[in-house]
Amino acid sequence: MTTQELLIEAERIAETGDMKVLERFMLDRFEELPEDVQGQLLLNMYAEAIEGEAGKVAVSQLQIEGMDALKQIGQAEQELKAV
Amino acid sequence: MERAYRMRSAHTEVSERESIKHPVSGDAMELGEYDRSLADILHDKEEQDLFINRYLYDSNPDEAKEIAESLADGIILTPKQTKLLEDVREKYNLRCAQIEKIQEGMTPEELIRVGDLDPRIKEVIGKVGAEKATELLSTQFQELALTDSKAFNRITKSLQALHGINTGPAAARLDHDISESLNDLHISEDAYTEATREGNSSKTQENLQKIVAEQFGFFRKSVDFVTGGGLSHRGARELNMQFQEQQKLLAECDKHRTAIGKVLRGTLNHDVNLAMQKYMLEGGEIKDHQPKETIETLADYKKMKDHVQGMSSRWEKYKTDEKKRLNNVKDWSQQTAAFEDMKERFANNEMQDQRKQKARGTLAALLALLFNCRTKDTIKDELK
Repeated sequence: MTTQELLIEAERIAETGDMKVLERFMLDRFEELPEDVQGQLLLNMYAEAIEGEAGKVAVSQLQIEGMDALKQIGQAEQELKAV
Repeated sequence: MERAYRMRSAHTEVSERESIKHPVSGDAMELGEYDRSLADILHDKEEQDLFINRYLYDSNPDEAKEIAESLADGIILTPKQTKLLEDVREKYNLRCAQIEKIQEGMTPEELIRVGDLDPRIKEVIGKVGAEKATELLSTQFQELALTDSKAFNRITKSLQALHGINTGPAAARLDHDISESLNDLHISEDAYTEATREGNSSKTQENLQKIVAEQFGFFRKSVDFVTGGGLSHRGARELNMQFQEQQKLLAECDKHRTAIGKVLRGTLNHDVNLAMQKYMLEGGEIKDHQPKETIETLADYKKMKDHVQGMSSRWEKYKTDEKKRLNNVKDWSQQTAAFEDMKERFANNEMQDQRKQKARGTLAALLALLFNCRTKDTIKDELK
């Protein structure tokens, strides 16, 4: 497929509103895409992957912080009750 | 005296060096080869294009356009324009050095690791190989870093969060421990049930973000209460504590435990967890009016494409204006050089307008595909 043909087909798929199908089309045709489009697609996926991972890390750190605080509250309560 | 000057100069140098941080690790770094003067940048055509048409254009499109035109025409820049370029130059040099540092981390090995997190990346690596995929990524990253500061900051922030951290199966164990603790404390997920009832609608997302923002505030206060001294330095361990104070403190413990528990419960709910991730990565506060991409929906894309296709009327108007400017040229065929120059300027304007368009996700790839079919040369070919 030429770049123009790829664009026409991609726009036809985009018309359906399903971006997942459009992404699938682009992945299937990856080697036919111009390099800057390949790079754009890859960068999107990379950004999503690391953002997701960074988000998970942030939540894990928050969980550790929260669990630690809960533990300390529990210990303090025991001490308070023993007073 | 001279010694004092030398010392001051050395101090300034050290303090400037220390103020330049590695974009991911936060360690001190140096500009190195990117410590360039304005003349260095402007004398290199490729560098000049990146500096003015990409980097400056992102923050100040009107000025960038005027400066680019002046430089193309060999017109001396005004003092105001020179000052602007000088002000932006330092930031540009820093951005270039930051890009290089981030690109150093984009190795085939690292991309393979990210591919383990995302099967789509793995698929691309399978098609073109890790080396080529890394090259594509790195090149596109440079383009993005110079033309879209917002996206650059978002990626950098994620890389910072991941720096030096190995994620893995430990997270699942943590979820299990939290779930057990919360069940023991009888902390339910009622607060989230209502918010997620409408499925994945934008209203649900809005509700979730509101809950996350509110609860996150209580969470931080509660954690500060425990770890920042509110609890540990009060009279819990003092034997002479009054009964009333003891009861008050116990009640406070309960209040804070509930606040912490609610946040932890949220981390176990997939939708809330995602809202939290977004909340934390976007700087810890929910912003209602974030700057938007120019192309957010398919309707935006179509509108932009209609605008692109309306080029002929823009060209006719441009020609009329130029004709007046050049003292009513009657026959362009006698003015070949001027006509070619006009086509060049018009095509440059069209390309600048094109660069203004920004999108995320698959729409960004679709946009790139469209613009790949519309280069400066194809625009000029259409101009009659």
